[in-house]
Amino acid sequence: MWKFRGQEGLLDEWMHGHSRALIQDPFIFVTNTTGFDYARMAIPEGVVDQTRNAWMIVSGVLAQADSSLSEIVQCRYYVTEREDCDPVLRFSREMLNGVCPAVTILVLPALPHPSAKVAIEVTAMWGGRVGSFSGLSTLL
Amino acid sequence: MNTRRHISTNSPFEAEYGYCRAVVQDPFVFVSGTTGYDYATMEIPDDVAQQTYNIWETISATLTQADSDLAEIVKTTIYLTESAHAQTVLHVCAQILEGVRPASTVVIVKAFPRPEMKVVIEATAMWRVRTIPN
Repeated sequence: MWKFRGQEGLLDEWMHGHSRALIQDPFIFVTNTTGFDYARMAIPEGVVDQTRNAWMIVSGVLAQADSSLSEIVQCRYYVTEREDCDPVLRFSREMLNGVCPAVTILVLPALPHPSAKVAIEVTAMWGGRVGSFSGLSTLL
Repeated sequence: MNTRRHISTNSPFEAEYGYCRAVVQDPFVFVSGTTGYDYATMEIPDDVAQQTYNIWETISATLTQADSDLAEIVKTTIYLTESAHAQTVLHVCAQILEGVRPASTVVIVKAFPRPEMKVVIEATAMWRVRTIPN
């Protein structure tokens, strides 16, 4: 079992003792991801902009871990307002472009970061092989 | 078997939002969060117990299509909007899954995408074909 520390999320992950993703062959489990832009330490106001950022982070982590958006088998979306379900699902459909995962969406009272309006949790297939992982320098 | 399979129902939500009812990816079947609609008619009963029965009908049919079965379920997550519904829903689940005894989580959430939805169930099962030797 390998843990993977996504470079965008170093601060958050060090502080809270989790990894951005964990590889357990044949799967990669990506930690619940919000639209927080770690490079700028900022989060956009709009839920679609947050969704876009979250997908960019997830996509980057999967790419670094020898996987990709097209390998996603399951997504859970957590939003804080019912009316955000539709835009989050619509934007995610565009991002996933025919991947067609198993999906659950839930409206929660809040997310841990008070400005976060959406969080995305993903399980994908890991395309790599034990011993040939291209991201060794970022392994824990 | 490395081929991924997607199982769909007639749910207009699946078509509209680009997801499917279940993904078969060896050795698991991942079933989407399922609501109490009768997906043939797209009617949803008001009664939470009846919604729960409908959900299990849908999940059962989905698993059958995926060469799996209710007995192969290893994990369920049951989402409710009212803790007052827990006993009713769990009673139906216990009846349906008698003897299966999966790992299970019950969570109370603020809401679901539509106000008529009172319970959502997500399940992970083993893909049964894998256990049959050639």
